Amino acid sequence: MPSTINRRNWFKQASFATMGLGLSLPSFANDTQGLPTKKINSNKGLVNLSSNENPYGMCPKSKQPLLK
Amino acid sequence: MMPFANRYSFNVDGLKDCQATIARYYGVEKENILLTAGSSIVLDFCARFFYKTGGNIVAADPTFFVLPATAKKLGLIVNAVPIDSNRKIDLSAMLSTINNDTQLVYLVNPNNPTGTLLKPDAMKSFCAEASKKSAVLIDEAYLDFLDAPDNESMIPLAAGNPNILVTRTFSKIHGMAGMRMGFVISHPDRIKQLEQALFNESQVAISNLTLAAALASLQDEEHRAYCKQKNATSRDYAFKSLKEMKFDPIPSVTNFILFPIGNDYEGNFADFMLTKNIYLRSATYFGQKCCRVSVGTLDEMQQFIKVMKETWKA
Ligand SMILES: Cc1ncc(COP(=O)(O)O)c(C=O)c1O
Repeated sequence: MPSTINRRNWFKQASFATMGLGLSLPSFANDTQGLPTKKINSNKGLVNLSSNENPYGMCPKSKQPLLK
Repeated sequence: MMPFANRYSFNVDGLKDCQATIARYYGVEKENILLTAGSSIVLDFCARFFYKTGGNIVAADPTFFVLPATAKKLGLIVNAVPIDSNRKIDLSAMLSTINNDTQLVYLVNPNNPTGTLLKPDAMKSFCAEASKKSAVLIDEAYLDFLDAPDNESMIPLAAGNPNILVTRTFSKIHGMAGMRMGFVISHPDRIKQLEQALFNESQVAISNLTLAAALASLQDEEHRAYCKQKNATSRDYAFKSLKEMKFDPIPSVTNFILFPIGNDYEGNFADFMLTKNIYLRSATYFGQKCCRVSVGTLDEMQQFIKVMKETWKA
C-alpha cells in the first residue's frame, strides 16, 4: 500500500482539520456522509456494506406474530 | 397483527402496553421511556429540544452525524472534540470543553465511525461529572454487539437523572432497520418534557407491526447471540485480511470497520468501489482519508477483500 504522502493533499486536509473546532465537524461536513457520489441504478449484485445494517435480518420469531 | 391493522395498538391484545413492556425489559418504568420510529429522529429532536440561542453542543470528532448536523443547521455551535491517539473518544477533553453555554453533550458508545469502546466505569464517571453542567445524551446503538461486562448500559443512570439520556435502536443487533424502532430513556421529568414537545402518546407513533416485531425480538436472546457471533467472525476475517494487506484498521467492537487508505489516494474511493459493486463509505477523518466498511456476511466480506486484493496496488 502507498506510504508516501502527497504534499498537496496533505496540506489541504491539514488546513481543513484545523478549522474544525467550533466551526464545522468534518465528519458531517457533507450531506452524503461519504457515500459514493454516483447514483446506483439497481441493488442487484451489489454488496451493500454502507449502512451498518444487520445482514441476518429480523429474528424469525418476530415474523410470526406479524401475520397472525 | 395484520388482521388488526385497523386498530390502534392500545386496542390490540398484546400491544396495549408496549411502552411498559419495553421499559421493564431494560429495568426501568414506563415513565422513563419514549418510543420513537428509529433513533435518528430522537437524535435530531434532541438537538432541537435543547436548542438555545448562543448555545453549543459538545461532540466527538468524528462521530455519528445526525445530532451534530441538526445542531449546526439550527445555529448551535458544535464543539468538536478530536478523538485521542488510540482513536477513542477523549473523555477528559470532552469534559473540559463543556462551558456555561453547553446545552447538550452527545456521546456515542461504541462510537461510529471508529468502532471503539469506552469502558463502563469511565462512562459512569463521565456521565456523573458532565451531567452536573449539561444534559448528556449517550447513544448506545451498537452496545448490543458487546459481551458483559463491557456492554453495561448507562440506562440505570439515565432513569434517575433528567440530565442523562440514553438512546437505543432496533436497527442494528435486532436487524430491524427498515421497521423503524428506537427509544430514549431518561428521568420521568425529562421524558414528560420530551413528550410534551414531541408527542404525548409515543407508542401510537409506531406501527402495530413494528411494535409486535420489537416485543418478539426482545424475547429472542438466541437470535441476537447468533448475529453477534456471525458478525464477530466476519469482522475478524475482514480485519485480519486488511492487516495482511498492510492497512491499519482500527480494532472494532461493532459491525463496521474504519481504516485509513492513505492520503495519496487520488479520487473518491467509495465511487471507485461502487464500480466493483461494493457499496461503502469513504471520507476524511482525523486528517486521514478513510474507508468505512460495514460488516456483512462472511461471503460479502470475502467479496470485499477479493476486490481490495485485485485492485489495491502495493
Ligand atoms: C451511532 C448511531 N446512532 C443511531 C443510528 C440511527 O439508527 P436508526 O435511526 O435506524 O435507529 C445509527 C445508524 O447508523 C448510528 O450509527
